[in-house]
Amino acid sequence: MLTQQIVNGLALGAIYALIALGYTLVYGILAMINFAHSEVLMLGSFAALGLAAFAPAAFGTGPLALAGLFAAGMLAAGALNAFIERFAYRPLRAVSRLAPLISAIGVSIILQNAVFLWVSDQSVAFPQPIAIRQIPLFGGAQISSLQAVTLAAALILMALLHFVVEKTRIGKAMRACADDLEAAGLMGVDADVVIAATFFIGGALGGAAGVLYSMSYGSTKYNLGFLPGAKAFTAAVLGGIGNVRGAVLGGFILGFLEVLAAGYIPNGAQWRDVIAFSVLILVLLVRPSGLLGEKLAEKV
Amino acid sequence: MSGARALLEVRDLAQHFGGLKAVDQVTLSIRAGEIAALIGPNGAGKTTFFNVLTGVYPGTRGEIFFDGSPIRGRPAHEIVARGIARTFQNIRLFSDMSALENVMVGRHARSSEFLLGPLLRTAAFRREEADIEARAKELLAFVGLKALGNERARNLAYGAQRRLEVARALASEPKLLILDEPTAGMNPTESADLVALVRRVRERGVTVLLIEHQMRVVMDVSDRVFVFDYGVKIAEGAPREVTANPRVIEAYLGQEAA
Repeated sequence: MLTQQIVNGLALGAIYALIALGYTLVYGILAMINFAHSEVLMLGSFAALGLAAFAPAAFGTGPLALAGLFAAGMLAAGALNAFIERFAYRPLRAVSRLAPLISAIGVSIILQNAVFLWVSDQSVAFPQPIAIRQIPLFGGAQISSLQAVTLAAALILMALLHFVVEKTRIGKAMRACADDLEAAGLMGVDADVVIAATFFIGGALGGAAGVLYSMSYGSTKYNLGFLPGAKAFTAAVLGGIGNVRGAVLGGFILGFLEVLAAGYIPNGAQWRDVIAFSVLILVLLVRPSGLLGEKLAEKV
Repeated sequence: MSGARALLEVRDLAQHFGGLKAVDQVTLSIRAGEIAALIGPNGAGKTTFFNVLTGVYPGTRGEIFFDGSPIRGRPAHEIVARGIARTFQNIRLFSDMSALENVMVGRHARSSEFLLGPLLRTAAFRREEADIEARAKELLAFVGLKALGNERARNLAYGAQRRLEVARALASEPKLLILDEPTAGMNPTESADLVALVRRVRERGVTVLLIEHQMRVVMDVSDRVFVFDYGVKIAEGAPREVTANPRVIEAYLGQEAA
């Protein structure tokens, strides 16, 4: 029973972690919360759906179809996020801390309504490129093929992100900008390019999460991003916003909390969000800067 | 090295903040190959002047020519690419990164990254990456931090952090290196070491402009001195001339002597 909950928690947490990374990467550099991130992941899911609708013959089942969905979702979400940054945030960056935040809320509402009005106000079926079956694990627990794909995809993407951030030039520039944006510019780093790349990477991770989330529900909808977006944002804060490891940790903790609440508490499935968020509030009361977060004084 | 050619030419430069004339009517030029010092009492506008030179502030009026091209109001990273690098009065290293990584970031303006390069590990990318690392190590050795490359910047001793800032700035291969109070907070031995380092920087063919409060250091290291007071340049000349100038004594040395 517990093993099963751990498997479920890992699969759910992996999705939250992917989304939380998008919030935390942007916050790390700009100290700004990208409220449009939940819509970016929703549109990533719709872009994947669009590709599947455009080339239905190619989209039976199989790894190629799966890769196609990921590629479409990630590229579209990454490009959209970078586009939003360029036109809705960058012009406001020097104005005030609040202006880009308000702009982000505006973008979020616009995108949600655009999909609601022009695409569909209902749930739309999402392609299912992998055959659903249960794979037995030790201790009587099972992992579904979908959960296995989710975990594998999330782990690969996190490893890739780790490599980019730690080992590449753009990653070093991202860390330099997160540490001191102005000093990075004075050392020759083009902050606009680094910020655009950060939004692209964060958006692409969100797009992957959007595809995984829609696959697990078998459908997508104009407000698909809202709930996982809000939860992932909370996960990022729980882990210590601005901290990459913290976002992953927070995502998995939130996933576990939800699954354990649903599994062990009577009527827990209905109460799981209440329980998960109560624990979050408690953790923040004890550690306001999050589990792995720096003290705010160091950031400012 | 053509000693008489002006590397940096500043004409009637001003930086105002509302009614405050932090820098005003500054005209000066710096020759290639010299070590110039900028002195003046606190609040004289020295750091503001550096900030306009390096693109932190846009400047309100006037012109800055570097190596013949106008640079006032250009973005900071572009000015670095043209050949001006700097250090900071309050050390601003990338504190969570290693010493070596700090210097490698400083090399950013001199490297061409394609986003796909690092992921595909193309041969050109690997060659450039190896080259960047080798040069960064050479610079660490140059400032005397050879053994500390893997140390996090925040864990380095104070004097080492100041040296690391110099190495990071040199990584962009500047023609002009701007040092904002490089000996601040240092004991006499550390100061003397830093003066020696500044001389070796010049031997590499890099022109140096520094803000300095310790008169002993100024007299020792600089070919020429500019004196600022209330945002205006009040004197310039050889160190001995400047310290004999009554206006300077009144504005600056007079305060210290009193």
